[in-house]
Amino acid sequence: VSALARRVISVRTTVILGNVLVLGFLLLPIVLASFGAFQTEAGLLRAGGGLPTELTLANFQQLLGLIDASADSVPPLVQQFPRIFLNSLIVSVVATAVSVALGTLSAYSIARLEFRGRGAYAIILLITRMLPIIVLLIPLYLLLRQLRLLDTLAGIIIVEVGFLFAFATYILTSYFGSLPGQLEEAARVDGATRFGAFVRVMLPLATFLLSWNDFLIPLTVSISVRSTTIPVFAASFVTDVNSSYSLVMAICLLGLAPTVVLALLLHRLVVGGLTAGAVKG
Amino acid sequence: MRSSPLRPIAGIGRSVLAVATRDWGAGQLAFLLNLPAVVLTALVVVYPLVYALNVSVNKFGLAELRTGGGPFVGVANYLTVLSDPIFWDAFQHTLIFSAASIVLMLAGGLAIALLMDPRDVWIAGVTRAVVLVPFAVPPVINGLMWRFIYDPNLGSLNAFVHTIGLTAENVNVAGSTTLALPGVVVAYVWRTLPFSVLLFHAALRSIPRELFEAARVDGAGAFRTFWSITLPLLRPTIVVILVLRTAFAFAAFDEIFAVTSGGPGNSTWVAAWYTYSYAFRYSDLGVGAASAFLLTAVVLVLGMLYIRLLYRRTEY
Repeated sequence: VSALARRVISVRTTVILGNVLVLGFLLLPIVLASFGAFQTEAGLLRAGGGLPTELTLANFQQLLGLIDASADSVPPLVQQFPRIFLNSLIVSVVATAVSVALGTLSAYSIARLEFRGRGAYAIILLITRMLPIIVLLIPLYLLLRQLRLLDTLAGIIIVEVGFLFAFATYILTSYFGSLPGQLEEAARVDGATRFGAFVRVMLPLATFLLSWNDFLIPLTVSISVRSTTIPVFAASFVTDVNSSYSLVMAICLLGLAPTVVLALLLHRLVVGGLTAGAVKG
Repeated sequence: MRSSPLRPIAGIGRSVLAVATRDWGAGQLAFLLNLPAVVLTALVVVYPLVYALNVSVNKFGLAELRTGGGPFVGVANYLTVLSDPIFWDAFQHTLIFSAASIVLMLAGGLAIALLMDPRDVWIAGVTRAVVLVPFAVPPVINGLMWRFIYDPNLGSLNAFVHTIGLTAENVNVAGSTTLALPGVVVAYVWRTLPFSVLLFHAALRSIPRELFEAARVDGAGAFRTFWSITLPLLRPTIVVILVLRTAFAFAAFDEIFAVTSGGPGNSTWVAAWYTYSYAFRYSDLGVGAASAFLLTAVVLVLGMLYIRLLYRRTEY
């Protein structure tokens, strides 16, 4: 019987079943969070974690200011959601642009120029990348207070760039290092190599993602809605999340949407590009 | 033209041009290219690091935060941390959290990479398309999602457990001293797993096909091929994941903050939560900074290991 069973459950069937399980694992948490986002708080209680009985867009309408939320017992900050979303967008876009620009300059010099202290500089950048940010929060708070940058988007951007450009440099150094000197000219004429295209699209995406998802730096800098970003806003519900799960899950879905959509749009490049880069190294 | 207001600007333009076309030495050019980055690193990394070191050897509470400095106390804050049983609890939780996360990341990452590798299976392409999704979710939001899934009254985990008849009681993952830490590990691994999947995927694709052909000709089965060819060739990838992800797992904070906030009791206190609690909840910044440096020391040792392995990797 076992020999027969082994033949029936072929490798192909195992792979298909395995992929079904993996897809469930990858997507189920977001589906379950949607259960919360698309129901009312009362509906949630009735469903008790099971399949939703009635769906509603009320949570999203409240967050986007499409219906007047002031009548309900909704925290006033909820009405500021569009502004907070915009804050996150400004921080991530500006931090990405500056980090990639600075990272390009640094990576070029590390990969191409012989200068004293090059090795030490590269190691400092790698340490910057691995340093637990929590160790720096107190001094950063005091520093930004001194510079009058507390509760400003500029304050968040400056600190984030300090860490993100090290990440960009790290990725770009391996890119510059992978191109032989005489090929550089040809690559510039051609446009780019495959790995070059990968870096050019992937690096800004990854940097944007790291900035958008960052929590501890904006948590330290923001005081009011002026500089609140999505993760800080979502985290403000942690203490009393139990009373407003449906609204919080709607915030979560809108907060994860930009980076998840980017990841989906660019999966082909990421999976293919990483392979192209890895073949060389 | 001589009296034109544009004249100084033209002058600046000329000097910029002169600077740009000058034959720069490598050192000078490197200095110029890195000047903004170095200034920024000094401002937001090096200066705060030195400042934090100073805080860690001073008495530094709320009053000192206002005045900007307290009396020097030497290693007293470090001794406070090292003699605190809760710190050792947190250290133990950090070790368990990191070890469990890394093992799951390696085993799960390799399994998913192998499953999504075949080009002739349609659904494997779907997996490749969505495999990055968890990695893109902001960590705090990830934590809140899992907190909702774990909720004893509204969460789907309980509904599922009741449906399959595992138990009729309400399971409160985030509120249980035994389940809270595994619950946080699951949330953390869900988000970080795609990182190792991608590295394994790239490594698998870079193994020359001829090796597998040769193995088949020699009569090796699928398992034997995997054990003798695939796994040894994946060793560098495994080492990179091991060291890099251990460094990150040691400093994990966001999911723990969102799912359990260290509770119940101190059953999910990890190193980063200990630091956060002392610095921002108990306002004992000196002790917070001292514990942060102990955490940093562990992470930097792992970082050095990583650098050494990277250099060794580039040798062949």
